[in-house]
Amino acid sequence: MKKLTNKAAGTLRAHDISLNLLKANDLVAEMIRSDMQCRNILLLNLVSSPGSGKTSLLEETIKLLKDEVNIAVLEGDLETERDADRIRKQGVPALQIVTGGTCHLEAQMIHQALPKINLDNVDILFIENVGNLVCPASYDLGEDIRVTLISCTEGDDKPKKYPSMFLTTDIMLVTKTDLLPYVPFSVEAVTKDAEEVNASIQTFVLSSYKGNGMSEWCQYLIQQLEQKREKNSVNAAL
Amino acid sequence: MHEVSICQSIINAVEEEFPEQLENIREVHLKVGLLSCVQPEFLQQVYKMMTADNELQRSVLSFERTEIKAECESCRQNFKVENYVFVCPVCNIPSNNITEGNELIIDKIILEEFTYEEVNQ
Repeated sequence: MKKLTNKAAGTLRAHDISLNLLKANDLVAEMIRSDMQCRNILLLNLVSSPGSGKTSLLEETIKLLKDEVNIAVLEGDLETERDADRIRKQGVPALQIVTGGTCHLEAQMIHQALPKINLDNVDILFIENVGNLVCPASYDLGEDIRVTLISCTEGDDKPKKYPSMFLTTDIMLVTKTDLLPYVPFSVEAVTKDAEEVNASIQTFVLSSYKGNGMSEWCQYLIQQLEQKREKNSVNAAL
Repeated sequence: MHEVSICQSIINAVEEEFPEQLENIREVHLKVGLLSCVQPEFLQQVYKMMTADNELQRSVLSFERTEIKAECESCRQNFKVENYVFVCPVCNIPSNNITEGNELIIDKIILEEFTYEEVNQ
């Protein structure tokens, strides 16, 4: 404790403390993580700008993986049930989280939503975050893998413009690549910039509309699910 | 963009830490890393509004910005990250080992404290 100048009637004293302002969120995120561990569910958090193709990616991923794994989706949006409706049409459980204006999902919102969705036999749970490349970066949702989508119509300069997001992400998905011939977007440049921000980022290049690159993405998901299960069974045996 | 919810977290944390001395708090000091996605100037305005008519009304929010630093996995030196290039300038090796720049913490609270004599003057 340090004594400061006596300006006021009393004595001003500085108290050194260390209170992490995201601690409450991170604690709930850890609860979700261990819950998912017990249920053997692979949890992914999808983030991106609005309109980069998160819901379309999910629709196509569900179509391709439906026979192999059971998928469920939590949809975050400011308003409407539209995205959850689109996912339900694919025959998988989906729950809409309407944030009512909040620009990101917080762990508490996921924690409250989980009991409302049937997770029996679910293998992979996707969280589609609110479309926003800024705020969701700061909020751990308990996910195993964070996936950032960047569509080639957005421009290849995003990793350097929104470094926090690319820094905290595991996977970068370059989407809408069927439009590459028509837009000035360099996959090489975006990959280089992303790797400068985050050395361990892994990149997939795909078009959910035309299907290019989708099988590599789906293989990756299956492989991650198997890895998690293997790790879990080893832990259980110990 | 989420300064209001961050500000609520500040108020909650302070209330929890100093429940009996809220009226004596004069300054809440934050360390805000460049990677925290928070605008501290905006946070100050929100804080002013959110504490205008409660026990914290005589307190102000102050902050210091922390730069981004990372540790090189090869030479173990801490280097300053500029323009978001997380590459060691000596070894030219990329590093994800961020040592500074992510923080969003309250690191200091300044309280106005009164002695027994001052209270009973």
